[in-house]
Amino acid sequence: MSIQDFPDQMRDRFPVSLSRKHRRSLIAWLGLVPALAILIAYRLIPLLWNFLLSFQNMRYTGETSWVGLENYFQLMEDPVFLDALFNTFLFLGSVPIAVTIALGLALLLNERFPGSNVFRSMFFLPYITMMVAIAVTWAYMFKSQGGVINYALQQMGLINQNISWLSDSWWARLSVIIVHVWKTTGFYLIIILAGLQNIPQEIYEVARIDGASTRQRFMYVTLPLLKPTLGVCALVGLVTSFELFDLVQVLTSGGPARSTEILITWIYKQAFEFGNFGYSAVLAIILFVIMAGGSLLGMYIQSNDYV
Amino acid sequence: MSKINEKINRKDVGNVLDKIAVHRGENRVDTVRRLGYFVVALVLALLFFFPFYWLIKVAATWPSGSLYAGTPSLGLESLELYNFIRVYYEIPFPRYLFNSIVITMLAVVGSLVTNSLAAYSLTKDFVGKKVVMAFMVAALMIPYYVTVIPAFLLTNELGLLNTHLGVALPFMTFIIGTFILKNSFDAIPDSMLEAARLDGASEIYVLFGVMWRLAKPALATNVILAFIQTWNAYLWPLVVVSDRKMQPLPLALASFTTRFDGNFALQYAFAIMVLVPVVIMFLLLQKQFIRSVVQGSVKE
Amino acid sequence: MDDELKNQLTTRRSQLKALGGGIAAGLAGCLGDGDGSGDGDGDGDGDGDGSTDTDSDGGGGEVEEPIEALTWNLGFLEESINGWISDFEDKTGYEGAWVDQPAEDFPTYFQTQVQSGDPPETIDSQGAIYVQYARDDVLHPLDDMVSDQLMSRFNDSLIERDKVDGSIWRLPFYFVSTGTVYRKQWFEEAGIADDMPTSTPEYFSAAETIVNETDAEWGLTTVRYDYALWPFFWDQGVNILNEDNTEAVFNTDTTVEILTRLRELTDDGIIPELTWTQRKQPQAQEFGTGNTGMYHMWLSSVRLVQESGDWVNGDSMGFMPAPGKKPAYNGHGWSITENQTQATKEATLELIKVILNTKWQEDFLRNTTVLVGNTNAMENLANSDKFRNENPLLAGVYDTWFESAEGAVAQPRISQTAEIWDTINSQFSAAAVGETDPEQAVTNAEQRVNNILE
Repeated sequence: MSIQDFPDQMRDRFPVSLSRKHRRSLIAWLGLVPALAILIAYRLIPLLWNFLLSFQNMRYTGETSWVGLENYFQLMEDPVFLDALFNTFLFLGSVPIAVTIALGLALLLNERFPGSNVFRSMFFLPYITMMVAIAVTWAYMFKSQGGVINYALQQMGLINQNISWLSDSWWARLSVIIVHVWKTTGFYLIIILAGLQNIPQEIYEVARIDGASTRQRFMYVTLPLLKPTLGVCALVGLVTSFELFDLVQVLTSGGPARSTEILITWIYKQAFEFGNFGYSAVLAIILFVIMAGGSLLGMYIQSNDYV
Repeated sequence: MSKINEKINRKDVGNVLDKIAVHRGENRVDTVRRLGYFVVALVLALLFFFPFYWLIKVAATWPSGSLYAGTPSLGLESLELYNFIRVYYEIPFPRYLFNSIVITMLAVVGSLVTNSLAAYSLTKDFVGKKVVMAFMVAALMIPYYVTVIPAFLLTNELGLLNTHLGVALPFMTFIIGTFILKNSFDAIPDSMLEAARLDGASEIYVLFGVMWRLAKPALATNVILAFIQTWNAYLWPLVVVSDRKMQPLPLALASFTTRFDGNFALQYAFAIMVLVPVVIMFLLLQKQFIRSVVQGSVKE
Repeated sequence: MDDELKNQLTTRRSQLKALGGGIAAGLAGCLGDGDGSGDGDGDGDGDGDGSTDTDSDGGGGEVEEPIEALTWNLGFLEESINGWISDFEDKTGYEGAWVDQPAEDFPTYFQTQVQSGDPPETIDSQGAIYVQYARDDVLHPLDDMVSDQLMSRFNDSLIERDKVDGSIWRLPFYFVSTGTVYRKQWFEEAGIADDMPTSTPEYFSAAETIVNETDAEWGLTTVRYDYALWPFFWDQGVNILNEDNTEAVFNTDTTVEILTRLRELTDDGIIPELTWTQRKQPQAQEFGTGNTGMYHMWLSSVRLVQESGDWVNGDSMGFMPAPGKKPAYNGHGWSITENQTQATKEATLELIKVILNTKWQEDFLRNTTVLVGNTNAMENLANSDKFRNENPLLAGVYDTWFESAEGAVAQPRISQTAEIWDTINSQFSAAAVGETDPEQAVTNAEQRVNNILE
């Protein structure tokens, strides 16, 4: 018996034969084990825990008592919930804004002039900085009286009176969006640049020969080929919205009048400042459903475009 | 030499541009255009960078005085590195740096392995693949804060409180990295893999030997993303670490701010010192990172 | 604080004033050199016995070491706290440990520790959060454990304030009230230095005068967290909740009036907008540039203010009580957590006793800008001329407290305290910056507070 007979012997001893597909599936599942283990332990189980918690009241000691749908009914009595919901959606708007800016920058930087690499890094810098440090810096810059931004705007003659960046509800919302766009543009820029550089030059040549103008080349060649890239940006954008927590807390604490309160800050306050754990679990479930629903929907749309 | 005394006229500028153009192998119009792009990009980049300029300026100024002057001074005055030195000595900075490095290294290495395994699996067609993909996308959307308490309880059960591993464990896999690696692996032609298998390579070797070598940019992306995420993490280490000696940098920064209540320059200096390693890491991996995103993002 | 002592102190203050206070800019909170201003002896506290003093019958179980203390925002006090631990270890032979958390993270951290089943044995908490913990049986009531001798260290009113449902849940550690600091220069230039404001309307008109008559940019700024905005309303007789803490009673015409006034002052540029949008440091910074008349703050922020402005010293900056001498009060105290053996709890009490003895409380006074619960320590330092000369700003803090101690109002000792103030604060701030109508804001706040109380 040599080693070459080994597989046959194995087959004789273990007569179960797996089809190629099943064997592949098994190996695939094995490979997924570590990743799935961590995801299940640290994401799925906490989510389920939260789901259960939404039907209970919890004391600080961890003791829980069932209250059924009571926490869900509290949703209707909570005026802040609607504000938080609205703002959460509103701030998602920073994603298309940032992606558009990134697209413009990418087109610019794609022209490959000396130093474009350095610029690319400079745009990416905000993304790798801690949100807290960023929020503190911007809070100072947004100061109504004596802040750099108002100072510069006045010097340039763009405004006459100081803008109350942080004490007017709409300006406050805008400031959150501005900072978030600033922080994430660099990341989208890099993704889009990569997508752009992946488009073969020949396609452009063909289009030019066919007589397409610059604008037409952009609309009918570049954009469609960028669709998957933009899809990735959207997905990433959804995830980055969670980091708004630090930004809102430092910049405005959700004010004025809850105009910048978002679901995630309200969840935190309910749980850790007021001790309403059951209710905050309800909010968490709602936030998850919205986000997961949105992203799965996006995925579905994307996969339909590219079989 | 005598030309210096003459005024520069348009023709001279034109000549210079032509020379540059010829040198670059293009015509003058293109050079001017490139120059234009450069200028525009420069302006935008400087505007973009301004908040960092502010951060550095405050951190590097001594004495700090009042930051709340009626009109802010935009210029650089009395630059000093004193604040950074003071931060370094006032608190056990090396210890916190060490903690951050260990935790991040664990997360980076762990995520490389875990994500690669998962990505490799996802390149195959298997039963339940769609479910797993959907699960992963949905798992991305779980708000982080709500996972803190149960995750803490689990870490406690595992006996990993106050350990580097306990902090790093949740970061040892992340879905975006898995997807990027998957796309990169997908791009590798099957023929190469078959060739390797026919040569007698085990699956493990196929993955870590062959695919890794070909997907270097994607790995670099994974490294940089894992690094950023773990290095800047705040809330999770907060609940897991109660021993001050085990704190990573962001936690130390937070408690640091309470020590020097109101001394912003020191706080800013610390923030910069937390930021610098990430920047260095990014610059080192930049080339690889960019290339990987090329491959990774197109095939969705 | 009994009257005689108060008189003594008032006389001292006028003496100091007479001296012209020509003292160099003292670094508030700097170490005094300690001679004559403290016993330096850990047991000079009427506590007598050096070991566990409760009448346990030996069935208390094992002591779970180490005895861990969790502090609130005291990272800068590392040296002293290590001193507490080592004194404790010397005294009892048990091991001690220390964790500190910044204020915002304290609840989250403590929460997870409780759920893990092994919380810190004792915690230093601020405000009324301990009420939530007490209600949920996370803390151990202390009535049975404390002896009269121990309690004699503290002022009765401090103990009473912290009681919940008649039980003692924590021992007074340190506390602070709100008060107003002001730049004397502006008052002198405006010609109102002889007529310092004492009530809310007077505060407002003084602020206006300052802005109109001098170069000052702002007249008044304040912090709002932990009920700090309410002295302006208490002075005019408006309370937040009724006696039983079951109903909101602040929806009155006076409230709307005051709020409207605040809004007008903000519109007119007397009060800066950051007062309503930021928490603490921006206000201190603004006042520190010297362009503001008055800053109503938690007196513990005096060092923050000092660091924000070069002009700040005992001569140029004055102290006065909050409007109507009814400041907001915020205290810290040490509680013992449940879920431990009786022996551990007693050992923990020993640690607390060390922390709260005269020696360490005096040390605490020297390193911070607050007042402490240990009456001995307070008397030793606050009455010491030397200490007051060296630390004029601290002297200002103490004097302001003594003046307004009677009127100080603590946060309602109920679990929903934080939520209630968050609601009121958010509504009122919005009205003050002109986002909502004051009357509407007050009505909304009342409605929501009543909802919370149900």
